[in-house]
Amino acid sequence: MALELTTHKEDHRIAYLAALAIAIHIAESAFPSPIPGIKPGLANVVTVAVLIEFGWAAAAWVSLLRVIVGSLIIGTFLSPTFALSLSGALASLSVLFIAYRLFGHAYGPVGYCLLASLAHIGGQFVAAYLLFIPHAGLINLLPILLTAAIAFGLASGWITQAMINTRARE
Amino acid sequence: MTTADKLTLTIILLLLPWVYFWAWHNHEDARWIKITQSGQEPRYYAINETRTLDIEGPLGTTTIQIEGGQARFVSSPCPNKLCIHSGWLKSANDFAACLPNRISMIFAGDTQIIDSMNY
Repeated sequence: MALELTTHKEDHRIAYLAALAIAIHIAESAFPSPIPGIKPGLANVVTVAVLIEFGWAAAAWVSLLRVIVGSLIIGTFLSPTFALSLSGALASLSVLFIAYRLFGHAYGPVGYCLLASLAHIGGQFVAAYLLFIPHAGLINLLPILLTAAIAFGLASGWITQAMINTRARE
Repeated sequence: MTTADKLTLTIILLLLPWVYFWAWHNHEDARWIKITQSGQEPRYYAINETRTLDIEGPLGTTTIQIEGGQARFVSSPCPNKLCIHSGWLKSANDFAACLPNRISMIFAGDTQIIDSMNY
């Protein structure tokens, strides 16, 4: 008996957007990083764009699919890298959920990207501390990581803005 | 950028220096290097005085240098040189030890994180 699987337009859209996020995620993982733990997080652009256009549930799907499928393709599934990636994504989604419910479209892409990137590094930092390096010395890294998160959050915010503007013109 | 975006960015940028201060400021001023040697009372040395200490252990002479508010193991007759590789002790409760030669030192602050030590 053939298994029938009906898919909706929305499923296709999420799959398409997740594929986009995964492609960015993998391309980025090939980039060397000047400081361990710091990377631009451009896949967040897709998450935030989806959040603004299609709501939080779609953004959560795209973000979690990206983490899981991305790690399967890179080969880090269930590894420490995956744990950090997942905790970052979960923290980021939680903060986006709260902000989306409370402020909705009062926030633009820049605000959401800033919140997402700070929550992302915050979640990763806590996970790294609890799971891998429970040493007070880790705190010394926090300001640097947060500074990078703000810079990259702003940058991806502007990219998201440009992306949404382009889509609106089409 | 919306008003909420700008407001968020402003708040974050205002909080950032505070995070730097909080994370990088020494919560406690360490003033003493406490050197503990097997079977002896610990000895305290002020960190602001430059000095080189030669300490006799069971294996031979271990040299500890205190300079510029920091301290380190300079040489020790142990096989692995873990004590030397610990580098400079810089802030409160930094710790280094040469177990083969039964010598340890800790940057002592006002509160002690180690209750007791035995070899």
